[in-house]
Amino acid sequence: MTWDIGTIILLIMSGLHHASILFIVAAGLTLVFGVLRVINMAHGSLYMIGAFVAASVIQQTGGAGGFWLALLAAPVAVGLVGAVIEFGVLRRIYQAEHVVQLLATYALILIFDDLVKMIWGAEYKSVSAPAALAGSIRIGDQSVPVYNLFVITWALILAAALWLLIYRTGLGRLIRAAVEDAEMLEALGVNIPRIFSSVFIIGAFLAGLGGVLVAPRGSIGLGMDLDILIEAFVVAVIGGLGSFPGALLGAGIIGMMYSFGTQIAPQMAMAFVFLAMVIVLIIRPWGLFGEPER
Amino acid sequence: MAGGSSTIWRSGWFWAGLAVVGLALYPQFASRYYIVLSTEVVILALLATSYNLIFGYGGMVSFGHAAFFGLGAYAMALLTKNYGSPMLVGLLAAPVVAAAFAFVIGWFCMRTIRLYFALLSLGFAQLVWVIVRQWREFTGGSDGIQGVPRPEILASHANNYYFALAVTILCMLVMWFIVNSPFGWSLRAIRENTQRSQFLGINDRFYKLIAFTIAGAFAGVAGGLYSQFQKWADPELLFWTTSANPVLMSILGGMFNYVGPSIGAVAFVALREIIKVRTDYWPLVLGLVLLTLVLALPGGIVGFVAEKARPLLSARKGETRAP
Amino acid sequence: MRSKYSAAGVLMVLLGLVVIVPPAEAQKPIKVAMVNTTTGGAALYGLAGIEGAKMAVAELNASGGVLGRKIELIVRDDAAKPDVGSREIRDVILREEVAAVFGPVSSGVLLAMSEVAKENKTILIAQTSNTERAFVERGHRYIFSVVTNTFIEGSAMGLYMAKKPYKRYFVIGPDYEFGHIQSEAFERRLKENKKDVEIIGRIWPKLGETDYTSYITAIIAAKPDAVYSNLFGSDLIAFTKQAKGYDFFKKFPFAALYDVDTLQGLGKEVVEGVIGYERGPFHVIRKLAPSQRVEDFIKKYRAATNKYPSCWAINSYDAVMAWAKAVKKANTVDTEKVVDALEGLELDSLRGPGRYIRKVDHQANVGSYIGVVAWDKSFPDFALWKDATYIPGDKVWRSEAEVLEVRAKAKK
Repeated sequence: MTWDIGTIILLIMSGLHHASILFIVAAGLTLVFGVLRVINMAHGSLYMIGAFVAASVIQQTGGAGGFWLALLAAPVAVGLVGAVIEFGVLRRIYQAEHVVQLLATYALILIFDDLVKMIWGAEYKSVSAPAALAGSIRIGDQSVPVYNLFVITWALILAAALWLLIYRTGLGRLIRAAVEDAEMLEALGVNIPRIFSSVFIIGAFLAGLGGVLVAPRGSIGLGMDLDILIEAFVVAVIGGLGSFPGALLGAGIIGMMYSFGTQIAPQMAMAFVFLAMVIVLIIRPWGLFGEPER
Repeated sequence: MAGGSSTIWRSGWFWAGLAVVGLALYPQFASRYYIVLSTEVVILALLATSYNLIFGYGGMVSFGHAAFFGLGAYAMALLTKNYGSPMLVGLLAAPVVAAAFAFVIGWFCMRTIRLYFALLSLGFAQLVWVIVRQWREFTGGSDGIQGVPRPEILASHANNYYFALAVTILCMLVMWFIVNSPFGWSLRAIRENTQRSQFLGINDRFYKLIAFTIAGAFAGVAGGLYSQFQKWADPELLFWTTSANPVLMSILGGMFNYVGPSIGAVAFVALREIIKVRTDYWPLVLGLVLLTLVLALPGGIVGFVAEKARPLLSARKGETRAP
Repeated sequence: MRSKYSAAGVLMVLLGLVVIVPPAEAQKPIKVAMVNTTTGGAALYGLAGIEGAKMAVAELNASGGVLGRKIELIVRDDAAKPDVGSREIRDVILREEVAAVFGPVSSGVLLAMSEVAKENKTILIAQTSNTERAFVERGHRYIFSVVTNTFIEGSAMGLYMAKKPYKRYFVIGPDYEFGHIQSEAFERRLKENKKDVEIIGRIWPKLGETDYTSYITAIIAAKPDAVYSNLFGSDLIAFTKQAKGYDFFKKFPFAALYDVDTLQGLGKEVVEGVIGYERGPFHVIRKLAPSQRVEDFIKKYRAATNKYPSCWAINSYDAVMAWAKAVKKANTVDTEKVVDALEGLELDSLRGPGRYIRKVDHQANVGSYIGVVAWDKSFPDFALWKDATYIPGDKVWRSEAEVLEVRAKAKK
């Protein structure tokens, strides 16, 4: 194969696209850990639910409007599911050891998997993107799907929005404070439970949004929760659990690794990803941008 | 409570002996289906007990134990199918291979603690999984290895059961002696208070590494038995969701008790069988059961890490038990 | 806390013992099982297969069953995983004591299930999964196939593509048994019939892959003359949707398993002009071997599922009917006698006459259907094929001598 400019552009675009989805999902995961100190294994399930809800909305409404409606409705729906999880399950285990949290959220994976199967059936779902996003754009002598650019754009928008939220708003200030020292914050009279809920709902919203964005590409089925969970996990760990810039960088690294890895060594591309995770955990366990856990 | 613990000892062995007799007579009156099922339970009990060496007794939370189970399974499968080795060679190789990996992985993991220990063990396990799954030329890739040969004497379901039972009981005895040896007590001391045991001159990292390696070895034996029993080895055996099972079994049956994980294995499979007859939604039920169990634990009191000591296990002769 | 655990554990054990109560005595109906995939990407084919089997059973029962007994169909999900599949088939054989098993979708699962069938001497008839290895290298007395195997399918495509001018091929298929074995057969036959052909690259996304971007990019970068694929079902749907955006199909001639289920799934997103192959498209059968039976089948299938039947449903129906015919011929459900009856059995296949199961590898001489994807005015919702052709199994399959040779080599 030839390493010309066209190929490199394609590889970079493909890496950015993958990174975009990873970032959107991993950002939620890492944010939740940073503030609530909980690893939510069910984060992938939320992503899956977002995709299925989007599929239903698109199929029910028909026509082009369906997708845009789903883009709003699905993450909101998933946010609600997140609220239920936070209230019903997570609240009881904030003080527990990480193992307990991992097991409880793992139980949620099992539960959600079957619930999705019960509600939507086991069959694979296929929906289409709106016509406006269906074409391709020429870059040099290569064509790139418009939809991929759409996804990348969304990731950038979200990255900016999250940055603004965390570094420029009152809630963001409280979030950052909670990441530093939640106990102290509570002693100062801040309503910690409300912050925790808000953050978890935001995280769920992001996961759901990720699900909607992948829906039209033909990837809606049971099992997508585990697939994305592992990848988001690796991204969050490499970037640093709890670190927002870490999620951005981690997603970029993993996305590019996959893209170029499949080109160079397709059989073992995924192995490099886990190797990266292991190396980071050995050398710098708290990740590239993380802080050692107190 | 004078003489109380010697009564406990006697009755413990008595019940164990009774169980062994029961298990041995079992195939006489059980149908083919249940003999096969019990073979699986026996192997899982071995796996769960091996895991509890590091979980309950060592206070280490590993999420990568399936890697050693799977490696043992593949060692058996590859040697007997692709290289024509006799089954016993496979069964001896399985723990060796698993222990080798456990030692290396453990060495790296011992340098981290708590959450990062769990994550690193998970990361290593996934790395091994990917390599096994992708290295098609050697391991058969995502298809795994089919048609693992079984020696003629073990062809019948009952004989296979007896074999698995015999190996498992042997391993359980060995692990029992390890757990109740000076090594085992030091391990428990480390679990309860790492700093204090360091002051006592115990090299905690070394002890934990040895425990991790031993646990990996026995998981490898379980894996070897498994691939021989199922006649296949599959990358799924190394996937992290398989690692969750011994954790579940240890918790279900009780992790501070030597036979707890075994009871957990029986309970797990029994539950699965009962539920699957009634509904396809077995994962849902399992998830609800697990969730209930986890939430019912008063937060933090049932500790999984060394700091939350369990008086029962540190009780010596004559000491009273804490409730 | 600890006592709470032990009590729970003891309770579970007691419950477990309750389950050991022996099952009810043998009932009058004959039980058969289908272990197929109802969850995951392969569910598309699994569910079609189950529907076909159900229809066959219903039809048989409507005319009094087999040997005067009704047939009961037990359906199990294998989740496209060999470990689940072998557990389920072991369950239906040992606990339900079925007379025969049909299925699965995945060739990997087929190999695992085949071992259990062999161990327990139960008939297993493949109606979707088709790796040749299950019948040649790993063949045994109890496994049969009514579906086109990988060798026939790959070879047929090799023969077909050899007539085209393309020299540099790129191969993309799912990374499991079927993907590798079938493309091997394709490559071999292609090279035999066109000397200057070159396979410049092969990549294997995992079965159930959702993001094909990196793979698409890799193929584009390699600049082949044509691309051959055995991606199928939801994987092929995802691939097609994603590759379109790169003008992939404008750049490269493409051949893949565009069966009726995949075409229905793609709907308006299908790309015309790609080459499709499969194992029993109703729209081609209608032209090549029309019959009232086929029309009835199509009508009933649509009434039940609101979709057109794919080859998986058709093959599944054929599999059950083949077993029933063998039972009637043997006049017993006894496995050994039914096996003898199945060998050499002439099939009353929906696909047409002239199909039979040969003895050496228990493979039916069913072939491969090939066509070019194109819209048809009478079908507004999904595309069909044009220029369709059928290459019979016995034109391209391994000769008996070859089968024995491959088997002998495998035993070493």
